[in-house]
Amino acid sequence: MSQPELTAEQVAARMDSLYEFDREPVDENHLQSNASFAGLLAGEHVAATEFVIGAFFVLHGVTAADLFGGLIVGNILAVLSWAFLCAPIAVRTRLTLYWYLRRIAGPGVTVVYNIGNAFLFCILAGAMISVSSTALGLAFDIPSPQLSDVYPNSVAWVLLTFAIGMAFTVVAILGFEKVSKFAELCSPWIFLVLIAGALALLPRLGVATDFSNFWEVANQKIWTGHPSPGQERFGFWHIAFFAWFANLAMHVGLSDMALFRYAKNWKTGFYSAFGMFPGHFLAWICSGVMVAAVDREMNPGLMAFTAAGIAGAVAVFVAGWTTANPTLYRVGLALQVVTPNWPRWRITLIAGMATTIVACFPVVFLKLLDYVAIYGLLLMPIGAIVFAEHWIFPRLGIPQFEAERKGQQISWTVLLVWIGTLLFCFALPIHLYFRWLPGYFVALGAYILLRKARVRTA
Amino acid sequence: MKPLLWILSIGALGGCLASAVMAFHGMIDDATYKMALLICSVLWFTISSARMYLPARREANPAER
Repeated sequence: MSQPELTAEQVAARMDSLYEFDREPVDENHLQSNASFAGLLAGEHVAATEFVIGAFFVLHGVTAADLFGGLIVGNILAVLSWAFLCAPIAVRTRLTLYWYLRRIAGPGVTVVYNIGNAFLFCILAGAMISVSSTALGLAFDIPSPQLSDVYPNSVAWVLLTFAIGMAFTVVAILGFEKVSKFAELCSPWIFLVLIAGALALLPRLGVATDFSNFWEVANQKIWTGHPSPGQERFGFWHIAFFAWFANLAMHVGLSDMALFRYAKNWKTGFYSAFGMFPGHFLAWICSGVMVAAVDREMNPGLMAFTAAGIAGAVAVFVAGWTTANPTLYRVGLALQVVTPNWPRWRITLIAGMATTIVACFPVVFLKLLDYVAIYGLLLMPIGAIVFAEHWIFPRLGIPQFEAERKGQQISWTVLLVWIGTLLFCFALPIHLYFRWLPGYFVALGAYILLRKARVRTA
Repeated sequence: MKPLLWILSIGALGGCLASAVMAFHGMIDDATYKMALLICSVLWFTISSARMYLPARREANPAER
Protein backbone atom coordinates (compact mmCIF):
# COMPACT_ATOMS: atom_id res chain seq x y z
CA MET A 1 0.00 0.00 0.00
CA SER A 2 1.47 3.36 -0.99
CA GLN A 3 1.84 6.01 1.72
CA PRO A 4 0.98 9.67 1.06
CA GLU A 5 4.07 11.86 0.74
CA LEU A 6 4.56 14.55 3.35
CA THR A 7 5.14 18.16 2.43
CA ALA A 8 7.58 20.32 4.39
CA GLU A 9 4.63 22.27 5.84
CA GLN A 10 2.96 19.07 7.04
CA VAL A 11 6.16 17.90 8.71
CA ALA A 12 6.51 21.28 10.45
CA ALA A 13 2.84 21.21 11.54
CA ARG A 14 3.31 17.71 13.01
CA MET A 15 6.41 18.80 14.88
CA ASP A 16 4.48 21.78 16.26
CA SER A 17 1.63 19.59 17.48
CA LEU A 18 4.14 17.35 19.22
CA TYR A 19 5.41 20.29 21.26
CA GLU A 20 2.02 21.97 21.52
CA PHE A 21 1.84 21.50 25.29
CA ASP A 22 4.76 23.88 25.87
CA ARG A 23 3.91 26.42 23.20
CA GLU A 24 2.80 29.08 25.66
CA PRO A 25 5.33 30.82 27.92
CA VAL A 26 5.35 29.46 31.48
CA ASP A 27 3.09 31.54 33.73
CA GLU A 28 3.91 32.82 37.22
CA ASN A 29 1.91 30.07 38.95
CA HIS A 30 4.04 27.29 37.49
CA LEU A 31 7.46 28.59 38.46
CA GLN A 32 9.53 26.13 40.50
CA SER A 33 11.52 26.68 43.67
CA ASN A 34 15.31 26.67 43.72
CA ALA A 35 15.21 23.57 45.94
CA SER A 36 13.35 21.60 43.28
CA PHE A 37 15.93 22.71 40.70
CA ALA A 38 18.73 21.54 42.99
CA GLY A 39 17.11 18.09 43.30
CA LEU A 40 16.32 17.78 39.62
CA LEU A 41 19.78 18.84 38.46
CA ALA A 42 21.51 16.60 41.00
CA GLY A 43 19.63 13.58 39.67
CA GLU A 44 20.05 14.48 36.01
CA HIS A 45 23.83 14.31 35.99
CA VAL A 46 24.33 10.86 37.46
CA ALA A 47 24.07 8.42 34.56
CA ALA A 48 25.79 5.45 32.98
CA THR A 49 28.20 7.78 31.19
CA GLU A 50 29.79 8.65 34.56
CA PHE A 51 31.09 5.07 34.87
CA VAL A 52 32.90 5.47 31.54
CA ILE A 53 34.12 9.09 31.44
CA GLY A 54 36.08 9.16 34.71
CA ALA A 55 37.66 5.82 33.83
CA PHE A 56 38.76 7.12 30.44
CA PHE A 57 40.57 10.04 32.05
CA VAL A 58 42.75 7.47 33.83
CA LEU A 59 43.42 5.61 30.58
CA HIS A 60 44.34 8.92 28.93
CA GLY A 61 47.16 9.33 31.43
CA VAL A 62 46.08 12.51 33.14
CA THR A 63 47.93 13.46 36.33
CA ALA A 64 46.04 13.90 39.59
CA ALA A 65 46.72 17.64 39.70
CA ASP A 66 45.53 18.13 36.11
CA LEU A 67 42.42 16.06 36.79
CA PHE A 68 41.35 17.83 39.96
CA GLY A 69 42.28 21.28 38.65
CA GLY A 70 40.74 20.67 35.23
CA LEU A 71 37.50 19.35 36.68
CA ILE A 72 37.16 22.29 39.07
CA VAL A 73 37.79 24.88 36.34
CA GLY A 74 35.70 23.09 33.70
CA ASN A 75 32.73 22.53 35.97
CA ILE A 76 32.79 26.15 37.16
CA LEU A 77 32.79 27.27 33.50
CA ALA A 78 29.85 24.94 32.82
CA VAL A 79 27.90 26.37 35.77
CA LEU A 80 28.67 29.92 34.59
CA SER A 81 27.47 28.99 31.09
CA TRP A 82 24.14 27.87 32.50
CA ALA A 83 23.91 30.94 34.71
CA PHE A 84 24.93 33.62 32.20
CA LEU A 85 23.95 32.16 28.82
CA CYS A 86 21.06 29.73 29.21
CA ALA A 87 19.07 30.76 32.28
CA PRO A 88 18.74 34.52 31.46
CA ILE A 89 17.26 33.85 28.00
CA ALA A 90 15.01 31.10 29.40
CA VAL A 91 13.70 33.35 32.18
CA ARG A 92 13.13 36.34 29.87
CA THR A 93 11.30 34.36 27.19
CA ARG A 94 9.76 31.56 29.32
CA LEU A 95 9.89 29.47 26.14
CA THR A 96 11.64 26.25 25.14
CA LEU A 97 14.46 26.45 22.62
CA TYR A 98 12.15 24.75 20.12
CA TRP A 99 9.59 27.55 20.10
CA TYR A 100 12.13 30.35 20.37
CA LEU A 101 14.23 28.94 17.55
CA ARG A 102 11.08 28.56 15.47
CA ARG A 103 10.55 32.34 15.65
CA ILE A 104 14.18 32.98 14.67
CA ALA A 105 14.87 30.30 12.08
CA GLY A 106 11.49 29.03 10.91
CA PRO A 107 9.80 25.66 11.44
CA GLY A 108 11.97 23.94 8.84
CA VAL A 109 15.15 24.54 10.84
CA THR A 110 13.51 23.29 14.05
CA VAL A 111 12.60 20.08 12.21
CA VAL A 112 16.21 19.66 11.04
CA TYR A 113 17.42 20.40 14.58
CA ASN A 114 15.10 17.83 16.14
CA ILE A 115 15.83 15.09 13.63
CA GLY A 116 19.56 15.69 14.00
CA ASN A 117 19.16 15.56 17.76
CA ALA A 118 17.25 12.27 17.43
CA PHE A 119 20.10 10.61 15.52
CA LEU A 120 22.62 11.87 18.07
CA PHE A 121 20.41 10.50 20.85
CA CYS A 122 20.35 7.11 19.07
CA ILE A 123 24.13 6.86 19.29
CA LEU A 124 24.09 7.88 22.96
CA ALA A 125 21.43 5.26 23.72
CA GLY A 126 23.53 2.71 21.83
CA ALA A 127 26.52 3.49 24.03
CA MET A 128 24.38 3.05 27.13
CA ILE A 129 23.13 -0.35 25.94
CA SER A 130 26.79 -1.40 25.47
CA VAL A 131 27.58 -0.26 29.01
CA SER A 132 24.68 -2.32 30.39
CA SER A 133 25.93 -5.31 28.38
CA THR A 134 29.29 -5.18 30.16
CA ALA A 135 27.43 -5.60 33.45
CA LEU A 136 25.09 -8.41 32.39
CA GLY A 137 27.91 -10.11 30.49
CA LEU A 138 29.58 -10.87 33.83
CA ALA A 139 26.68 -13.11 34.82
CA PHE A 140 27.03 -15.16 31.61
CA ASP A 141 30.83 -15.05 31.50
CA ILE A 142 30.79 -13.17 28.20
CA PRO A 143 34.03 -11.25 27.63
CA SER A 144 33.64 -7.51 27.08
CA PRO A 145 35.33 -5.85 24.09
CA GLN A 146 38.89 -4.63 24.42
CA LEU A 147 39.82 -0.96 24.35
CA SER A 148 40.98 -1.12 20.73
CA ASP A 149 37.93 -3.02 19.44
CA VAL A 150 35.77 -1.42 16.79
CA TYR A 151 33.73 -4.47 15.83
CA PRO A 152 32.02 -6.97 18.19
CA ASN A 153 34.50 -9.47 19.61
CA SER A 154 32.16 -12.45 19.88
CA VAL A 155 28.77 -13.77 18.80
CA ALA A 156 27.79 -14.01 22.47
CA TRP A 157 28.43 -10.26 22.93
CA VAL A 158 26.23 -9.46 19.91
CA LEU A 159 23.42 -11.72 21.15
CA LEU A 160 23.58 -10.26 24.66
CA THR A 161 23.65 -6.65 23.44
CA PHE A 162 20.85 -7.32 21.00
CA ALA A 163 18.70 -8.91 23.72
CA ILE A 164 19.32 -5.98 26.10
CA GLY A 165 18.70 -3.40 23.37
CA MET A 166 15.42 -4.97 22.35
CA ALA A 167 14.31 -5.29 25.98
CA PHE A 168 15.05 -1.57 26.53
CA THR A 169 13.14 -0.75 23.34
CA VAL A 170 10.08 -2.72 24.41
CA VAL A 171 10.09 -0.94 27.78
CA ALA A 172 10.42 2.42 26.00
CA ILE A 173 7.36 1.54 23.92
CA LEU A 174 5.31 0.30 26.87
CA GLY A 175 5.74 2.91 29.53
CA PHE A 176 7.95 5.96 29.52
CA GLU A 177 6.46 7.61 32.61
CA LYS A 178 7.02 4.68 34.96
CA VAL A 179 10.61 4.30 33.77
CA SER A 180 11.33 7.99 34.18
CA LYS A 181 9.89 7.79 37.72
CA PHE A 182 12.08 4.76 38.35
CA ALA A 183 15.08 6.68 37.00
CA GLU A 184 14.46 9.43 39.60
CA LEU A 185 14.54 6.76 42.26
CA CYS A 186 17.77 5.26 40.92
CA SER A 187 19.91 8.43 40.66
CA PRO A 188 20.81 8.87 44.35
CA TRP A 189 21.44 5.15 44.72
CA ILE A 190 23.70 4.96 41.64
CA PHE A 191 25.65 7.94 42.99
CA LEU A 192 26.01 6.25 46.38
CA VAL A 193 27.19 3.00 44.75
CA LEU A 194 29.88 4.96 42.86
CA ILE A 195 31.05 6.63 46.08
CA ALA A 196 30.85 3.41 48.11
CA GLY A 197 32.66 1.38 45.45
CA ALA A 198 35.54 3.84 45.14
CA LEU A 199 35.84 4.22 48.91
CA ALA A 200 35.96 0.48 49.50
CA LEU A 201 38.65 0.07 46.82
CA LEU A 202 40.98 2.73 48.20
CA PRO A 203 42.67 0.41 50.77
CA ARG A 204 43.41 -2.06 47.96
CA LEU A 205 45.27 0.72 46.17
CA GLY A 206 47.18 1.46 49.37
CA VAL A 207 45.37 4.53 50.72
CA ALA A 208 45.71 4.83 54.52
CA THR A 209 42.55 5.15 56.62
CA ASP A 210 43.46 8.73 57.57
CA PHE A 211 43.89 9.67 53.87
CA SER A 212 47.42 10.91 54.70
CA ASN A 213 48.92 9.28 51.60
CA PHE A 214 45.96 9.78 49.26
CA TRP A 215 47.71 12.27 46.99
CA GLU A 216 50.77 10.05 46.71
CA VAL A 217 48.67 6.98 45.81
CA ALA A 218 46.55 9.06 43.44
CA ASN A 219 49.65 10.08 41.49
CA GLN A 220 51.40 6.72 41.58
CA LYS A 221 48.53 4.29 41.04
CA ILE A 222 45.47 6.11 39.68
CA TRP A 223 46.14 9.31 37.71
CA THR A 224 49.71 8.41 36.92
CA GLY A 225 50.37 10.65 33.91
CA HIS A 226 51.01 7.58 31.72
CA PRO A 227 48.37 6.80 29.10
CA SER A 228 47.32 3.24 28.27
CA PRO A 229 48.60 1.91 24.93
CA GLY A 230 46.83 3.56 21.98
CA GLN A 231 45.41 6.43 24.08
CA GLU A 232 46.58 10.01 23.70
CA ARG A 233 47.79 11.81 26.79
CA PHE A 234 45.41 14.33 28.36
CA GLY A 235 46.47 17.41 30.29
CA PHE A 236 44.77 20.10 32.33
CA TRP A 237 43.08 21.83 29.38
CA HIS A 238 41.68 18.58 27.93
CA ILE A 239 39.98 17.87 31.25
CA ALA A 240 38.83 21.47 31.78
CA PHE A 241 37.34 21.68 28.29
CA PHE A 242 35.76 18.25 28.55
CA ALA A 243 34.06 19.14 31.84
CA TRP A 244 32.90 22.40 30.26
CA PHE A 245 31.50 20.93 27.03
CA ALA A 246 30.14 17.67 28.46
CA ASN A 247 26.72 19.36 28.46
CA LEU A 248 27.46 21.91 25.75
CA ALA A 249 24.18 21.35 23.92
CA MET A 250 22.34 22.02 27.19
CA HIS A 251 24.02 25.25 28.39
CA VAL A 252 25.79 27.04 25.50
CA GLY A 253 23.50 25.26 23.02
CA LEU A 254 20.53 26.47 25.12
CA SER A 255 18.43 23.29 25.03
CA ASP A 256 18.07 23.57 28.83
CA MET A 257 15.84 26.60 28.23
CA ALA A 258 13.11 23.95 28.52
CA LEU A 259 14.12 23.51 32.15
CA PHE A 260 15.13 27.00 33.23
CA ARG A 261 12.02 28.68 31.85
CA TYR A 262 10.42 27.46 35.10
CA ALA A 263 13.01 29.31 37.21
CA LYS A 264 11.99 32.33 39.27
CA ASN A 265 15.06 34.25 38.16
CA TRP A 266 18.21 33.74 36.12
CA LYS A 267 20.37 33.12 39.20
CA THR A 268 18.82 29.64 39.38
CA GLY A 269 21.35 28.81 36.66
CA PHE A 270 23.95 28.63 39.42
CA TYR A 271 22.04 25.66 40.87
CA SER A 272 23.48 23.59 38.00
CA ALA A 273 26.44 23.25 40.41
CA PHE A 274 24.28 20.70 42.28
CA GLY A 275 24.47 18.53 39.17
CA MET A 276 28.01 19.28 38.12
CA PHE A 277 30.00 18.75 41.28
CA PRO A 278 28.46 15.46 42.46
CA GLY A 279 28.02 14.04 38.94
CA HIS A 280 30.86 15.48 36.90
CA PHE A 281 33.42 15.80 39.66
CA LEU A 282 32.95 13.23 42.43
CA ALA A 283 31.43 10.51 40.24
CA TRP A 284 34.18 10.88 37.60
CA ILE A 285 36.84 10.68 40.29
CA CYS A 286 35.16 7.54 41.71
CA SER A 287 35.03 5.77 38.34
CA GLY A 288 38.70 6.66 37.88
CA VAL A 289 39.53 4.95 41.18
CA MET A 290 37.52 1.90 40.09
CA VAL A 291 39.29 1.45 36.75
CA ALA A 292 42.68 1.81 38.43
CA ALA A 293 41.72 -1.01 40.79
CA VAL A 294 40.97 -3.41 37.90
CA ASP A 295 44.33 -2.83 36.21
CA ARG A 296 42.91 -0.23 33.83
CA GLU A 297 40.55 -2.65 32.08
CA MET A 298 37.86 -0.53 30.41
CA ASN A 299 34.89 -2.60 31.48
CA PRO A 300 32.27 -0.65 33.48
CA GLY A 301 30.49 -3.83 34.58
CA LEU A 302 33.67 -5.46 35.88
CA MET A 303 34.80 -2.21 37.53
CA ALA A 304 31.55 -1.83 39.45
CA PHE A 305 31.34 -5.54 40.31
CA THR A 306 34.87 -5.51 41.69
CA ALA A 307 34.14 -2.37 43.67
CA ALA A 308 30.64 -3.08 44.95
CA GLY A 309 29.72 -6.69 44.15
CA ILE A 310 26.30 -7.55 42.74
CA ALA A 311 24.95 -4.11 43.73
CA GLY A 312 27.68 -2.52 41.57
CA ALA A 313 26.93 -4.62 38.51
CA VAL A 314 23.21 -3.92 38.94
CA ALA A 315 23.98 -0.20 39.27
CA VAL A 316 25.80 -0.19 35.90
CA PHE A 317 23.00 -2.13 34.24
CA VAL A 318 20.29 0.09 35.71
CA ALA A 319 22.25 3.27 34.92
CA GLY A 320 22.50 2.18 31.27
CA TRP A 321 18.83 1.33 31.18
CA THR A 322 17.54 4.51 32.81
CA THR A 323 19.72 6.62 30.49
CA ALA A 324 18.89 4.72 27.30
CA ASN A 325 15.17 4.48 27.92
CA PRO A 326 14.04 8.13 27.90
CA THR A 327 16.53 8.67 25.08
CA LEU A 328 14.85 6.02 22.94
CA TYR A 329 11.46 7.48 23.78
CA ARG A 330 12.58 10.95 22.65
CA VAL A 331 14.00 9.51 19.44
CA GLY A 332 10.66 7.90 18.73
CA LEU A 333 8.83 11.16 19.31
CA ALA A 334 11.20 13.21 17.15
CA LEU A 335 11.13 10.79 14.22
CA GLN A 336 7.37 10.35 14.40
CA VAL A 337 6.87 13.63 12.56
CA VAL A 338 8.71 12.54 9.40
CA THR A 339 7.09 9.14 9.03
CA PRO A 340 3.84 8.70 7.12
CA ASN A 341 1.26 8.31 9.91
CA TRP A 342 3.20 5.59 11.70
CA PRO A 343 2.19 5.04 15.32
CA ARG A 344 4.81 5.96 17.90
CA TRP A 345 5.38 2.32 18.89
CA ARG A 346 6.44 1.40 15.38
CA ILE A 347 8.94 4.21 14.95
CA THR A 348 10.31 3.61 18.48
CA LEU A 349 10.72 -0.07 17.59
CA ILE A 350 12.62 0.75 14.39
CA ALA A 351 14.75 3.41 16.13
CA GLY A 352 15.39 0.93 18.97
CA MET A 353 16.49 -1.78 16.52
CA ALA A 354 18.83 0.64 14.75
CA THR A 355 20.19 1.77 18.12
CA THR A 356 20.68 -1.84 19.19
CA ILE A 357 22.68 -2.57 16.04
CA VAL A 358 24.82 0.50 16.80
CA ALA A 359 25.28 -0.79 20.38
CA CYS A 360 26.73 -4.08 19.12
CA PHE A 361 29.76 -2.13 17.89
CA PRO A 362 31.84 -1.46 21.00
CA VAL A 363 33.47 1.54 19.35
CA VAL A 364 30.43 3.66 20.33
CA PHE A 365 31.14 3.44 24.04
CA LEU A 366 34.90 3.07 23.70
CA LYS A 367 34.94 6.41 21.84
CA LEU A 368 32.39 8.02 24.14
CA LEU A 369 34.57 11.05 24.94
CA ASP A 370 34.95 11.99 21.28
CA TYR A 371 31.25 11.40 20.70
CA VAL A 372 30.34 13.75 23.58
CA ALA A 373 32.59 16.40 22.01
CA ILE A 374 31.03 16.00 18.57
CA TYR A 375 27.49 15.99 19.96
CA GLY A 376 28.00 19.37 21.65
CA LEU A 377 29.86 20.79 18.68
CA LEU A 378 27.09 19.95 16.20
CA LEU A 379 24.39 21.76 18.19
CA MET A 380 26.49 24.64 19.55
CA PRO A 381 26.01 27.05 16.57
CA ILE A 382 22.28 27.19 17.29
CA GLY A 383 23.07 28.51 20.78
CA ALA A 384 25.27 31.24 19.28
CA ILE A 385 22.56 32.23 16.80
CA VAL A 386 19.88 32.47 19.49
CA PHE A 387 22.25 34.43 21.77
CA ALA A 388 22.96 36.94 18.98
CA GLU A 389 19.28 37.29 18.15
CA HIS A 390 18.24 37.75 21.78
CA TRP A 391 20.94 40.05 23.19
CA ILE A 392 22.91 41.61 20.34
CA PHE A 393 20.35 42.37 17.63
CA PRO A 394 18.29 44.82 19.76
CA ARG A 395 21.50 46.72 20.61
CA LEU A 396 22.58 46.91 16.96
CA GLY A 397 19.12 47.81 15.72
CA ILE A 398 18.78 44.62 13.69
CA PRO A 399 15.13 43.48 13.56
CA GLN A 400 14.55 40.21 15.48
CA PHE A 401 12.61 37.10 14.45
CA GLU A 402 12.94 37.48 10.68
CA ALA A 403 11.52 34.03 9.93
CA GLU A 404 8.40 34.70 11.99
CA ARG A 405 7.84 38.18 10.53
CA LYS A 406 8.27 37.04 6.95
CA GLY A 407 6.54 33.67 7.39
CA GLN A 408 9.65 31.79 6.22
CA GLN A 409 9.71 27.99 6.48
CA ILE A 410 13.51 28.01 6.64
CA SER A 411 15.89 30.83 7.44
CA TRP A 412 18.71 30.18 4.98
CA THR A 413 20.93 32.59 6.91
CA VAL A 414 20.63 30.41 10.02
CA LEU A 415 21.22 27.24 8.03
CA LEU A 416 24.24 28.76 6.27
CA VAL A 417 25.79 29.92 9.55
CA TRP A 418 25.12 26.54 11.17
CA ILE A 419 26.69 24.49 8.36
CA GLY A 420 29.49 27.02 7.76
CA THR A 421 30.45 26.98 11.45
CA LEU A 422 30.60 23.19 11.48
CA LEU A 423 32.81 23.15 8.38
CA PHE A 424 35.07 25.74 10.01
CA CYS A 425 35.25 23.69 13.24
CA PHE A 426 36.05 20.43 11.49
CA ALA A 427 38.78 22.12 9.44
CA LEU A 428 40.43 23.72 12.48
CA PRO A 429 43.88 22.19 13.06
CA ILE A 430 43.44 21.92 16.84
CA HIS A 431 42.28 19.15 19.17
CA LEU A 432 38.62 18.20 18.81
CA TYR A 433 37.89 19.31 22.39
CA PHE A 434 38.95 22.91 21.78
CA ARG A 435 37.22 23.50 18.44
CA TRP A 436 33.81 24.51 19.74
CA LEU A 437 35.02 27.71 21.42
CA PRO A 438 36.40 29.51 18.33
CA GLY A 439 33.46 27.99 16.46
CA TYR A 440 31.03 29.68 18.83
CA PHE A 441 32.51 33.12 18.15
CA VAL A 442 32.61 32.43 14.39
CA ALA A 443 28.92 31.51 14.46
CA LEU A 444 28.11 34.60 16.52
CA GLY A 445 30.11 36.93 14.26
CA ALA A 446 28.97 35.39 10.97
CA TYR A 447 25.29 35.52 11.94
CA ILE A 448 25.49 39.16 13.05
CA LEU A 449 27.40 40.20 9.90
CA LEU A 450 25.09 38.35 7.52
CA ARG A 451 21.95 39.75 9.12
CA LYS A 452 23.43 43.25 9.30
CA ALA A 453 24.32 43.04 5.60
CA ARG A 454 20.78 41.93 4.73
CA VAL A 455 19.31 44.82 6.71
CA ARG A 456 21.52 47.29 4.81
CA THR A 457 20.59 45.88 1.40
CA ALA A 458 16.87 45.72 2.23
CA MET B 1 3.35 7.15 56.74
CA LYS B 2 5.21 9.02 54.01
CA PRO B 3 7.67 10.83 56.33
CA LEU B 4 8.48 7.52 58.03
CA LEU B 5 9.17 5.86 54.67
CA TRP B 6 11.30 8.84 53.69
CA ILE B 7 13.40 8.48 56.86
CA LEU B 8 13.73 4.72 56.32
CA SER B 9 14.80 5.16 52.70
CA ILE B 10 17.44 7.71 53.70
CA GLY B 11 18.54 5.24 56.36
CA ALA B 12 18.94 2.54 53.69
CA LEU B 13 21.07 4.89 51.58
CA GLY B 14 23.07 5.74 54.69
CA GLY B 15 23.55 2.00 55.21
CA CYS B 16 25.05 1.71 51.70
CA LEU B 17 27.59 4.40 52.53
CA ALA B 18 28.22 3.12 56.07
CA SER B 19 29.10 -0.36 54.75
CA ALA B 20 31.73 1.19 52.45
CA VAL B 21 33.12 3.35 55.27
CA MET B 22 33.41 0.27 57.48
CA ALA B 23 35.16 -1.65 54.69
CA PHE B 24 37.53 1.28 54.18
CA HIS B 25 38.45 1.25 57.87
CA GLY B 26 38.91 -2.52 57.83
CA MET B 27 36.04 -3.09 60.27
CA ILE B 28 34.33 -5.59 57.92
CA ASP B 29 35.78 -7.81 55.19
CA ASP B 30 35.10 -7.44 51.48
CA ALA B 31 32.39 -10.11 51.30
CA THR B 32 30.48 -8.67 54.27
CA TYR B 33 30.70 -5.16 52.80
CA LYS B 34 29.31 -6.31 49.46
CA MET B 35 26.48 -8.25 51.12
CA ALA B 36 25.61 -5.28 53.36
CA LEU B 37 25.62 -2.97 50.33
CA LEU B 38 23.32 -5.33 48.45
CA ILE B 39 20.89 -5.64 51.37
CA CYS B 40 20.78 -1.86 51.92
CA SER B 41 20.25 -1.37 48.17
CA VAL B 42 17.31 -3.78 48.13
CA LEU B 43 15.87 -1.98 51.16
CA TRP B 44 16.30 1.39 49.42
CA PHE B 45 14.43 0.22 46.34
CA THR B 46 11.67 -1.45 48.34
CA ILE B 47 11.05 1.46 50.69
CA SER B 48 11.43 4.15 48.02
CA SER B 49 9.07 2.34 45.66
CA ALA B 50 6.50 2.10 48.45
CA ARG B 51 6.99 5.81 49.20
CA MET B 52 6.56 6.68 45.56
CA TYR B 53 3.56 4.53 44.74
CA LEU B 54 1.63 4.44 48.03
CA PRO B 55 -0.22 7.78 47.68
CA ALA B 56 -1.31 6.92 44.14
CA ARG B 57 -2.89 3.70 45.38
CA ARG B 58 -4.87 5.52 48.06
CA GLU B 59 -6.25 7.97 45.53
CA ALA B 60 -7.28 5.10 43.29
CA ASN B 61 -9.38 3.61 46.10
CA PRO B 62 -11.98 6.20 47.26
CA ALA B 63 -13.27 3.88 49.99
CA GLU B 64 -10.06 4.44 51.92
CA ARG B 65 -10.58 8.21 52.11
